[in-house]
Amino acid sequence: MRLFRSITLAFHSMWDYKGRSILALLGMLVSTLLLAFLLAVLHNFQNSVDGQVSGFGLRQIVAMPGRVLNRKVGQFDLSTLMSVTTMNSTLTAQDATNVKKQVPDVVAAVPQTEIVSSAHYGNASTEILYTGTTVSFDKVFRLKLAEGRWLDHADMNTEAPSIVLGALTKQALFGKANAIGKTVMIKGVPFTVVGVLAPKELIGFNFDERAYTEYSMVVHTTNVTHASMIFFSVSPHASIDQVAGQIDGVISKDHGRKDFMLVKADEALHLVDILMKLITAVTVGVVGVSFLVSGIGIMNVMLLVVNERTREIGLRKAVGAKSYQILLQFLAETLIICLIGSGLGLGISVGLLKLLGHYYSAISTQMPVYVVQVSVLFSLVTGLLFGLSPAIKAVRVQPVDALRYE
Amino acid sequence: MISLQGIHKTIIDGRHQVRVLDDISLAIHEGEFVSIIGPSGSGKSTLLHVLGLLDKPTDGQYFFTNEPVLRLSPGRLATFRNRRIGFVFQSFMLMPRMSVLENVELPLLYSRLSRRERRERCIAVLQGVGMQDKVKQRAIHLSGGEKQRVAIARALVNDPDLILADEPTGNLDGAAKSGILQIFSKLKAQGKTIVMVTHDTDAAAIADRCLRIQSGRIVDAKLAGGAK
Repeated sequence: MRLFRSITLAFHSMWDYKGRSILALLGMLVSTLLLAFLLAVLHNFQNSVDGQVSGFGLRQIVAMPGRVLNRKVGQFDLSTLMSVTTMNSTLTAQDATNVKKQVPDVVAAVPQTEIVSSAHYGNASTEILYTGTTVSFDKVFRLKLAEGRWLDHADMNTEAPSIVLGALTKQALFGKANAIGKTVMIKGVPFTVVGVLAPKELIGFNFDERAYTEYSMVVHTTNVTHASMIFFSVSPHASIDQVAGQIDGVISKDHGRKDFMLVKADEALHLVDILMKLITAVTVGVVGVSFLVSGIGIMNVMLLVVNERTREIGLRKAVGAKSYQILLQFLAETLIICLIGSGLGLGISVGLLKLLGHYYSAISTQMPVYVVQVSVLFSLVTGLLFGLSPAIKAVRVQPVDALRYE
Repeated sequence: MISLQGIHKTIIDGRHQVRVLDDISLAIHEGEFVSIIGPSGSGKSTLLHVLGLLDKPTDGQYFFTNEPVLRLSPGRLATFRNRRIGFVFQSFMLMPRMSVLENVELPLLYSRLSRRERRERCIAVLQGVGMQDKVKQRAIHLSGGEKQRVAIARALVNDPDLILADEPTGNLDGAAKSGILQIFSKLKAQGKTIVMVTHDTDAAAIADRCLRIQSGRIVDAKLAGGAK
């Protein structure tokens, strides 16, 4: 008997025992749903992060307050992350200037300082990150403007300071109305809006709920004296590691000690990669247990089915079915249950991804091909492993005993 | 066509050995209709199962058209049963959810026939047993007599050399029984080789030869009413 006929027979039998088949199928559906959905979310999240960081530019170095204890040379991994100690920032705009002067391969050095504050326009007000930076900031982050322009050198020395609003800040203060040329009050200072940023997503950064002005303006209007971060852009032909060493040397010498840390963009990506691999491994492990449980469920259902169909098996053998044909029939039944369950699970997980994408637009809603392949493979392996025992039980049925079976 | 020589069958029942068949030697000729009668537990059905290669004897030899069939591998035994032996069971052994046609088709699923050839054969044998109008009906909805007709059609569909029937009229009332016996008479007239186990003297009477079995031994063999 050909494989096709075994599959047809299996479909017939499944239809005859619909209730049991659906029960067996449900376990596989849930397991595949979990596996496909979680793997797809992780995959899409990592892609999103990679895209964002690559968009920011891999030739960037960020100086941050804090220190990494026990960091081994050249390695940036989970233990590095766990060894970061928080410190008050000692970074200053002068550090940025000094590095720019002393390290030729640094093409831009942009300090950023920030404090939570309120912004007011007419009766509207909102909480923002009042952020001071320089004219090169938009180029470092490749920012796009929805309206107006970015800060320029003329804005830096004016009596009527200019400000650029993040997308959400603009939305909160102006709604859909034009903000350019309007006056916004922050810390009691009237700012003229010269630009509005387009929404931007970059993991670990918030651009949308900010208002950007000149660095010294923030220092003068608040009690913040230090930079929260300094962003360095490295020239295309220089070695990132070498330039990082030079930046480290300049700032350490000026501070008289190492009271900051440097994070390279590619290191951040590497860390994300490590984290994703760890989470993926845990996910696959947990979902593996789920497959194990659903496999045991399917095996139990199929053992019951074999018991119920003992007379049928005996009859089939009596009229000429060979052992391998009985084995194939029952294995095919289990595999079909697994594949249908897996297909339904994949379908539902695609629907859930779309739903998730509706709420979190940063995460892609695509179902990666490898996730489909892994899900189908898991279900097939589960079907084979747990379908074997019932199929062997069916093969062992002796026709003469089965014909007497009540 | 069939030769059994010194067939013994012993089974273990708890701590006891029970001799179910005791030195059975028997020859059945091509085209012969043999009935086997005897009290319950005398070994009739076991003998039929041995003849049908569903059960192996503990000892003895079995030749089917001179072939020592007890030496066949399980796979070849399955093929042998499929091509050369047709079974009719007292409890019909039909798949209740399948149609009449699908039930009859069952042995052909394990042959190399195409779907069209299988369907043609099924229709032909169902016509022979008067069930051609109910091919699509589910087996569960048939009467006892109809079920047995379908079971006979299934036994005939591969055109076997030997038909084995285990109490084919055991579960039937008068009218249905006589219909089934008519079919067996017709098969006998067509020259089919038939072995039928029965309690029913009417059924035994249509055979050429009647064997009485008791405590696993053939105690009497005589020409029956059907002998020419």
